[in-house]
Amino acid sequence: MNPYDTNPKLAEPLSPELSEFEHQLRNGLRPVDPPAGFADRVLARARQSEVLDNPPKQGAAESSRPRRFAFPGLRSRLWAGSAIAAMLLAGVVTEENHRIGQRHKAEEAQRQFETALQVTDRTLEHVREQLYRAGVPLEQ
Amino acid sequence: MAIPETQFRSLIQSHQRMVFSLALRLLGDYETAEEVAQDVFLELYRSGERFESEDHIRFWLRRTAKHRAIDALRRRSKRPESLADEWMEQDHSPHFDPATHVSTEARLESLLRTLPEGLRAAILLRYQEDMLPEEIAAVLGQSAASIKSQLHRGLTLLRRKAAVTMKEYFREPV
Repeated sequence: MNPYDTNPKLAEPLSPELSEFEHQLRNGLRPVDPPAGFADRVLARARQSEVLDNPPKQGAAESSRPRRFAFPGLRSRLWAGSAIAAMLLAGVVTEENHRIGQRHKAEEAQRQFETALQVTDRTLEHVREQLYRAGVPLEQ
Repeated sequence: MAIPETQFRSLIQSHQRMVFSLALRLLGDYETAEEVAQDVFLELYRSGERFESEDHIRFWLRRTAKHRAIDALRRRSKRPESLADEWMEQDHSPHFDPATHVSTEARLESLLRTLPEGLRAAILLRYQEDMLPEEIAAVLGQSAASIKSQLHRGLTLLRRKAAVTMKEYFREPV
């Protein structure tokens, strides 16, 4: 049967030679059976992949338990959420460490400044004492 | 198993001829065709896709078989024509002609394998699967007009080749 005969809108009409050839081609291209045992081999591979993808858990009770991640994509979303939370936490910790470091530096600078002031006071007092002993009048 | 075993076996048995024949005629190699056909069914098994009807499954299998066979061809990066001689030496068809030692069907198949991939896939879906150009267009992801043109071109080309190499069966077009 020429397939285009049933619906002439499908394509341009074929020449008689092509129509005959089409018929021969259809006869020649009948589906062929796969090698014997094909279905068994596919099933064996499916079983094998099932074992590889989901290794048996210890104990029957474990295997009868409902799956924790029943929704597609939930596991990956949880992973992504955890990763973002970890990054935020790391950022906060780094910022806090930086702030503590700055505070320590400021305190150290304050201590050094106070020590310098005390040394200056003591030096001035000593100079004043020397001048007093030498009789040099000092303005109050 | 994602699909119950009995249901999966029944699916394989219903569609194995179609999937295997498409792979075989696109690849021209019995062993690779079986491997590809197995992969297609395993992909179906793992896909977890919800099939609404038998037509939906058939559509999915045809499209996947075509894609996987073309992938295998490209991986092999071997011209399919080189396997035609090997194929000619084997008898895979019940219509064996003792006079020529090669059946007409096998010779037509070897000619088919000399067509470019795109034309070959369109011709196969048309004449092996008896699909309409619109259906082929959906499977191959092309327009119906392009498929009709490819079918006509492929058929004309095959007819010319047959007229040269199979003179005893086909007259050269005038």
